[in-house]
Amino acid sequence: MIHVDQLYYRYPGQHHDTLKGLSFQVAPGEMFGFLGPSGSGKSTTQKLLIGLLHGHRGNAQLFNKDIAQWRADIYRRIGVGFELPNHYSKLTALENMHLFASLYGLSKSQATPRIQQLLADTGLSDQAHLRTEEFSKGMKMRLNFARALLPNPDLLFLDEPTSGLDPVNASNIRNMIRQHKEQGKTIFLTTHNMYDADELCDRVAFMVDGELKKIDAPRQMKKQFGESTVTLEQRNDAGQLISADFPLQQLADNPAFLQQLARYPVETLHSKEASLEDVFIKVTGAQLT
Amino acid sequence: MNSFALLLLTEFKFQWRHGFVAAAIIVTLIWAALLSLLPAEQRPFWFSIVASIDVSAIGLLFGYGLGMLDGSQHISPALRLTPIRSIWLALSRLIALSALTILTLSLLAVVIMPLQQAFALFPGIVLCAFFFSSVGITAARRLASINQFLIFFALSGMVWAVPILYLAGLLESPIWVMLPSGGATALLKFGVENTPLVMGVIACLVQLLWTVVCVYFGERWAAVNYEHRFGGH
Repeated sequence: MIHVDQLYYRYPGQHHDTLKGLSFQVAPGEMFGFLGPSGSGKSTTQKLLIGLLHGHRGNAQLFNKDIAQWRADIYRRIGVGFELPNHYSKLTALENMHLFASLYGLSKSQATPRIQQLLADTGLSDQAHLRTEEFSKGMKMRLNFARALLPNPDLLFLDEPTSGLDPVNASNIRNMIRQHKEQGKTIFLTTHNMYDADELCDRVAFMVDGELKKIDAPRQMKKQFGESTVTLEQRNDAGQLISADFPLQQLADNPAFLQQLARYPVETLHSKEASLEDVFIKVTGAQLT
Repeated sequence: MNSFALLLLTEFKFQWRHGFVAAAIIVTLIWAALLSLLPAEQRPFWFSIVASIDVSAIGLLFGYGLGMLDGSQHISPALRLTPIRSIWLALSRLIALSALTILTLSLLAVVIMPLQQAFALFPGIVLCAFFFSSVGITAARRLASINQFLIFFALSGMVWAVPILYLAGLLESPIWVMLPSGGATALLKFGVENTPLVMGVIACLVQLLWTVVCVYFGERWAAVNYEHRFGGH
């Protein structure tokens, strides 16, 4: 679906490359996360892939065709969800959606049921006739997402889709992204939110200073970089909290663990796997801010 | 409804709901009140002066203002990631904005003078409206800040003013017809006076040419100023 090989990009007037030899592939149906701090080159990569920048060096393909050869008709096959809401504020949600449906080439008979479905999926049916200037940021972001799905794209680019949202709205957006993936669509997610990346992505790429430091499945990374131990916390007879670590391997046959388990009531029992942020810091030495 | 028709409808709604139509109506009512105080035989002449000033102000300020509103709502990137080309976006705005000016000034003309005289001024109103709207829309594509626009507005004022001086009879040579807004302004003058048809045709062609030049540069500058997109602009 996406094939990038030794991709370099330098902004006009700058003396150094913003992207320094990126190579990665995204398979059909995959949700791929691009994770990195602000200014790392994530958005530049996405802008190149959706055509908002040009002048790259190296090879970048969408749908097995070099991006330089694509024409405007590709915008019927890709959807883009922007980080910031961008709608006609004096038009209603429905008017905004109908305009964009028309620009994507959908006839009214095609657009009307699709818009109704997308507004229902994003929980905006009741607000369809409100002007978007009356929307909260969460509602605008959901409308952004609905609009990105209008052409029923095979490939969806999302830039910080939960940025600035409250936990409930962020969870709603994550659920909608999962639903889209379940339909077999490919998703390219750009974010510095490690929770989103961990929750949603099949694979993530860590990007720092225009370079890809590591690409793997979040679970694999956490396993690789976490400690294979469990921490057992108990309260002893004197009421003190005591804690002990045990190797995760052969835990059920570990006599020391079993003996300790039997001594006092268990308060907590945790495996010490790394978070994706821990892995990111270990791999890149950078912070996700 | 096809894409262009819906774009056009959106432009009308955009202008209506942002208060551009209300502003144009208020200005027109003020002009109507002032012009109605004049003797009937002087109204066509003063209407032509008012029209040339009014159209230039509305075209430049509204055209640029609409572009600024696009920017503040971050709408352009979303529009650019659709298959529609930027020329259709520009044309829909040009038609909608010109229609607003043509409509208000035509109503003003009909209210303050006989229908036959108003009709004679109509070609000048139409070409003036299209030209100045195209300048305003193009300016929004080229000039990123209001400061730049104000400087452009001030510096270009002389270019717009000279044809109005010709219209007012303060300059005699018809060479001023060749200036960017000269053709349309001359058509307003010819609408008041009894001028040979050939002069009207020349003025009309000159003005159409300048409007096309302006739209062309708008597209050129869109290519430079807007972000790239697959398949060109």
